[in-house]
Amino acid sequence: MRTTLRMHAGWLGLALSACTLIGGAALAATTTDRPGSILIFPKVVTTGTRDTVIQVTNTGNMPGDVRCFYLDGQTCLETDFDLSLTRQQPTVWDAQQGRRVNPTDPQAGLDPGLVPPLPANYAGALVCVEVDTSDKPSVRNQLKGEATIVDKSQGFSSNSVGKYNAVAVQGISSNGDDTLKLDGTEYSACPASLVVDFNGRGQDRVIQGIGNGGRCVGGTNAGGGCNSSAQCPPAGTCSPASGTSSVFTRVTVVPCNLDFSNVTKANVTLNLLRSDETEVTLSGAVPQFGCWASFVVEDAFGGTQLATAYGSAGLRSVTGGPVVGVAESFVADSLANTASAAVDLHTRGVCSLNAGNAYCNRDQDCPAGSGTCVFTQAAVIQLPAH
Amino acid sequence: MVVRAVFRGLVASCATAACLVALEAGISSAQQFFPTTDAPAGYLVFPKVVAATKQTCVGGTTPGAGCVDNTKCPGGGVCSPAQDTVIQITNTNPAFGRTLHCFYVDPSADCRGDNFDIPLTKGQPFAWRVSEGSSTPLIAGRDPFTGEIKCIESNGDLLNPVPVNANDIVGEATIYTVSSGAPGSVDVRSYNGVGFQTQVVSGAEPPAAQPRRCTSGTNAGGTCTDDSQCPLSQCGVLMCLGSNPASGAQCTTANYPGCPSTLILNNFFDDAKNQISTRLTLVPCTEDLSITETGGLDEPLTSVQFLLFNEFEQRLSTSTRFRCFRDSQLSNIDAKAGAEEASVFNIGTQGTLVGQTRIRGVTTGETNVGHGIIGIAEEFHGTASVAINLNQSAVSAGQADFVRTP
Repeated sequence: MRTTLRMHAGWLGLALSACTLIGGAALAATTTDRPGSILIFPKVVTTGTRDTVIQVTNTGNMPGDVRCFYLDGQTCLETDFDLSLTRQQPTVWDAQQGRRVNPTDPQAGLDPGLVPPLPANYAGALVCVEVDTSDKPSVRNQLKGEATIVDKSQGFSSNSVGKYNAVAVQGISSNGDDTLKLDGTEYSACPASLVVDFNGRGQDRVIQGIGNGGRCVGGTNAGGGCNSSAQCPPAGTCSPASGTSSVFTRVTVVPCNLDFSNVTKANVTLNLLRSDETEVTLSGAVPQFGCWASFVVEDAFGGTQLATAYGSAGLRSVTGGPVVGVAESFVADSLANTASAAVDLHTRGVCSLNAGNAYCNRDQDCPAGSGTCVFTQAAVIQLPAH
Repeated sequence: MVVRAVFRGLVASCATAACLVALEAGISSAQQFFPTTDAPAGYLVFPKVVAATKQTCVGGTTPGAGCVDNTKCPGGGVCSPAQDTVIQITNTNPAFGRTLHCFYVDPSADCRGDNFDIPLTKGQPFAWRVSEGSSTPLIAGRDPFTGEIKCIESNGDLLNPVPVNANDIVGEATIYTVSSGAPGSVDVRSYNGVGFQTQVVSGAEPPAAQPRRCTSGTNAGGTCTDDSQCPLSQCGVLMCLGSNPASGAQCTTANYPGCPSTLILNNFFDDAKNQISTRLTLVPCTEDLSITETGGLDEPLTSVQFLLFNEFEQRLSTSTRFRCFRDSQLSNIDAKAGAEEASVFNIGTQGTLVGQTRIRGVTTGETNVGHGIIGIAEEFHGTASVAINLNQSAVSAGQADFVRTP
């Protein structure tokens, strides 16, 4: 384990990496469907009562070594550790507790290596890279991972739990050095843009219909949860005035340009374009962030509420290179019962000559003069020397 | 300092002009040659959709009676929570509208498909509750319902819908489990629809329709323009998922990628931490949605092999068979209800917290059914739950599944 603090030495590396964005062979972008050689978990949190359970599996028939890096979303500092997985071995650890190498501890299974515990109130990402026995990056595409974000406020069985697949970057032909080019030649490139389908912030329609969408006013059940006045006998009414359901969607992104060697920030700025169910569109932005951002969708649009219950937003990096991410929806009823659900984001193309919000699925979708539809954008992950 | 300043400037400029040049030189093909859950597609499957909004008493003196909370279930009964699913679908095409031809696939009725159409304007998201349906566009509500939804990007012809060569659709399913009254409860879990991208993307607008094919008979799979070209059959829609070069195969050319040869599930073993269990839903890639009468067994019977690895690298296997739709707790795949502790999916058998389960539809000598499968998993942590898409390994070469629509 090592914590790197060299904050000022990495501009050269990042500048070169950010500018060496070269299109390569026709290869798909990152995937959440298949194993890969690099895993990116965009959201790992130990904030408040929340904790994250990480699962990593070697899906191949050869043993595999892995270098992993926690990325602190606030400081952009990294904490690294190594895993050794036998063939087909699954492993798991709780981010707040880590995992010791102790065959006699209660957690059965082959300990994959010392996984350091994260401190409380940590919010960031985790990146794991397949390496060979001499710790040089290698390409076997054997890694698969999931993260389960759990709210422990009511114990492990709390209602608030969400799970997502790690973003896998597939290796193509690694040269074994510590500069991992996500450019379609060494590794698959990152998506040019993302799509997030989200719940508009406000009352949740489903809970309003079949859960506690309001509270009884009057009657023998005054103050109790309800979704119809029939639940407020004998003459009470079900009203959202003193308690209502709620829902919102939070998006978390991490840049594909990651410099763990010099701890240089990617400094990403995002443009967004959302549509509601009546085809009303609105542009938004996420101000520059160093290496990790988490935001409620409406906040990227100046807090402007969506006019319909559901929306869809395109999300594109305009500085600092591409990003990958995950969405989490949070719901609550009128009695403050809460729940969450996580889901991986979709990817989409952008028109090559338009720096704004020109998204596409094929060349013909790009307006005249805005170029062709490209689906990936190159990036670099720089590992520290081992 | 000077050097640093220079390169800071370089970074800033790169972030605009150079990066755009790089984008222009970027990769211009997004087509996936395997099913995808993170990219727009032309054919979208939601393997598990549930709706059961009528709450009923479980246990107590009035089991099965309608209820709104536990007070209506005397004798210690519990009012079961209500369930519903929100399907959200987005036309990601920023310039052109699209139409979806969708089916509710009902396992309780031999997997017959009831169809409906969803026109979407450019970039439009659309969502509906399965129990309620929608008035515009017209979608019937289904309550109770447990099954799947399949949507095909079509040519918009409501009388004769035909798939088009375009990949614009993404979608998510969110399953709610909630109860009202005191103390009430809320649980949600989401997964992405499983997409199949057309192997040919049309540059025309509207996108070119896929050729019609003879849906069965002696010229099954052959392209056609009318029924006279299809002895003992009809000229209709036959979507080929993968291709099979064998003589006599109906899908010698693929419209969509084939199904994965293996699905990968990283799961907690059942009863881990005394409260975690996993539910697996599998559906076949082959689907005959043209079946109109009940009582038939036209859906293929697929054998499924499960290969499990625990954290000690120990390997166990089991198998099952299913037709049309399989939704089961992992432990009930190989053990009856009440005997879950004997299952290979139980922590008591495996001894470790998590495992890797590789799931494979067993291929046969059949030329027209590849026995490909797709699915999702749901993980229950006490009263909370998550849903997650399964990973997949290589596509089965030389195997093809088909989707036949009325």
